[in-house]
Amino acid sequence: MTAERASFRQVVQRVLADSWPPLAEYASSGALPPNAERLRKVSRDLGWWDLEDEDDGFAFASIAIQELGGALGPGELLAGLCVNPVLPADPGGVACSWGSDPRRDAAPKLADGRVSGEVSWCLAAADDVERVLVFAEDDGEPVAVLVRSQGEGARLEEMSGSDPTRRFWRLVMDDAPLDEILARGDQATDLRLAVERRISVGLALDSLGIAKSALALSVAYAKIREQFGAPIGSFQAIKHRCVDMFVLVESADVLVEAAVASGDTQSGAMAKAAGCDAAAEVTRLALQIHGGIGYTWEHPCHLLVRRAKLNQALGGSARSLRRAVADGLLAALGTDIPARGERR
Amino acid sequence: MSLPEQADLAGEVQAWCRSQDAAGWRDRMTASDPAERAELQRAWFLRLAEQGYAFPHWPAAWGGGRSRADQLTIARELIRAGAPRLDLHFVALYHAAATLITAGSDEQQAEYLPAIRLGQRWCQAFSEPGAGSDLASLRTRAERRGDHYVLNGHKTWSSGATQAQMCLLLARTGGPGRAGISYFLLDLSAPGVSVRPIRNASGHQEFADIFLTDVVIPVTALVGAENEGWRTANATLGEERGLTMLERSEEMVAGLRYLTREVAALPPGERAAAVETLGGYAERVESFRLLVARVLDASIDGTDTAAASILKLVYSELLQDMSKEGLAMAGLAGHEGKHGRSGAWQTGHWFDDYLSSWEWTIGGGANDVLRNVVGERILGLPRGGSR
Repeated sequence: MTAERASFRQVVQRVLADSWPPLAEYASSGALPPNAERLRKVSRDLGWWDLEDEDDGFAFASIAIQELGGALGPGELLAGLCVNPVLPADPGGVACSWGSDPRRDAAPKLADGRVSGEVSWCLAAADDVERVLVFAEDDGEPVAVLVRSQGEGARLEEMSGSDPTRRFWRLVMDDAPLDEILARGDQATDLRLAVERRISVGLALDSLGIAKSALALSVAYAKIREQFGAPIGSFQAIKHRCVDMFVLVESADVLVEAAVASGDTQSGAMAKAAGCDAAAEVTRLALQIHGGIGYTWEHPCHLLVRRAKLNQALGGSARSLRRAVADGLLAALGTDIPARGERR
Repeated sequence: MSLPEQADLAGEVQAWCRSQDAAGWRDRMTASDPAERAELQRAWFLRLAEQGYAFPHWPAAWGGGRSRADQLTIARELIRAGAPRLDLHFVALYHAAATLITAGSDEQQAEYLPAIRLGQRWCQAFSEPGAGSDLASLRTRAERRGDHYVLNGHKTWSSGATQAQMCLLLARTGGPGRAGISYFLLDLSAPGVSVRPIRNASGHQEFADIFLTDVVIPVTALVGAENEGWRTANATLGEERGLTMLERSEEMVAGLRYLTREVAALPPGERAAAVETLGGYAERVESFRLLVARVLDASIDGTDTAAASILKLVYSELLQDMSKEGLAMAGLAGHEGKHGRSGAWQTGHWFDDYLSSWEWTIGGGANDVLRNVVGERILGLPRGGSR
């Protein structure tokens, strides 16, 4: 089992080497994000979209997602591998939102079979999207529906943002006819929670890949870059940072691994918060270790920072996820609460 | 770990702990003075030994021979049952035994392994006032005179030395550096040996200085070849392979509960930020537990994992951060009272816990030096010139 996973990881790495620009050439490889046509075709031919099965669950898909993150891979593959398997419909060409701004985004409204409102941060390649998963409200009742993205009353607008390695879209609906109702009421809520958990774990895997790449780049650079007559990795200031990065990566790695293996909400929340925060910090340190060269457009450091920082903002925020975990602990405490001023 | 035979063994250990009132032994040890505690611990150790739970990691010929999975199940269930720690026997059971088994002569094994099984306690005399993180610069000398060595020097930070009979000693027999160091077994009752307890910052006397003045020991006290001591010490220091950290990680869960109680007791205005902080510590505690499990699982397969190198860094800094946070939340209540030695690092007495955390950020190799070691051995970064 472990050997199978290791060899699948090698397959993913070989496919990426064949069909995707290496990090060193990524930023100068042309328009961003790089053209994913070849990678999409190869991954479909290899059956990456059907990696989930009863025995291994999410394990194999999670390997692909992490490797794709580390290579700044295309976002639509992340979405397809991560969210589509939990949808109760033919997943071909369905996109969904990976983030929302609670200060601005109200839930779209469903009335008389038509949807109005907006869904932002849909992760997809535009030409691939036929329908978008929308969690809406029908007279206060939660519903999960599919909406045609380019039909009557609906349009997809590409969003511009800090991260050029993935494309995000905003679906604007004005009395758009719905394509299909997937679930209503509690079932719709359950589906939303399942999708949100997948998005949490998917982002954590993506970020873990980013963090591992940033660490590897930094350690390799610290070994060869010489200043003051010595490789900078021999200086404790650099060496200790690299070790701190390694500790962050390892500490997040076990949480993400546990979240892939189990299905509960808490492990997903911990993985998202730890994985995305680790990547943000590791990429921050990576750019600092690389010095001037790291602050050039051609170098991948800024792209790793961009993707890591956006991943923190997508999905649930670390703040809200940690609060939810803590609320669980406080609830489990029951009445075992010390009185104020209790002597111990 | 979910194999049926492990479940059977777990049940067996649980039942035994109940029949012995394991947690009651711990409570009595916590409440007693150092000498009483040492006697109670020896009595508890002998019960464990009789049951086969004290040294399951030893070779079968010496009364162990349990699989690694069995060893971990026994350790885990003893911890969960609240059994007392065997801190005074720890060096004997792990470092001394590993040294004897891997590098000791037949005579040395025959003399000391049975003695350890009967409760003989050992300590370690490696560090010196001038050789802490830079252990290879140690200056205690062992001079060969006929069929004896004569020891002179000053060892320090020796845990449990006041309660020990024997001592693992590194001393210089050759030139400077690692290549001039030899490994000895020292009887602490030999003339010229003086053990003086050190009161640490927490007020406890767990460490000791060991002064060696013209101590005469036979050449048969040398382990392995002369000047090969560094290699022997390195080969046996990691013998417990994560078991210490298993205990610490179970203890951390108790620590998280204390922090949760602290948050629950905060006034509403201070609570919102504290709730988020608590969630962050829940994450770090869980991550540490999973890291320990990864290292222990790998040890069952006989493989190494990079995570092993960072367990102490992760644990000690989590301990220090979390107790600092608890102290901040508790305010003056975290400073009130005078507390005894509980033998644990997560007691909910926040100031004590906080101050004790340096025992882990410094002990076993200061974290600052450990970061160099991890950077060089695990990440392959070049050595610096200043060490």
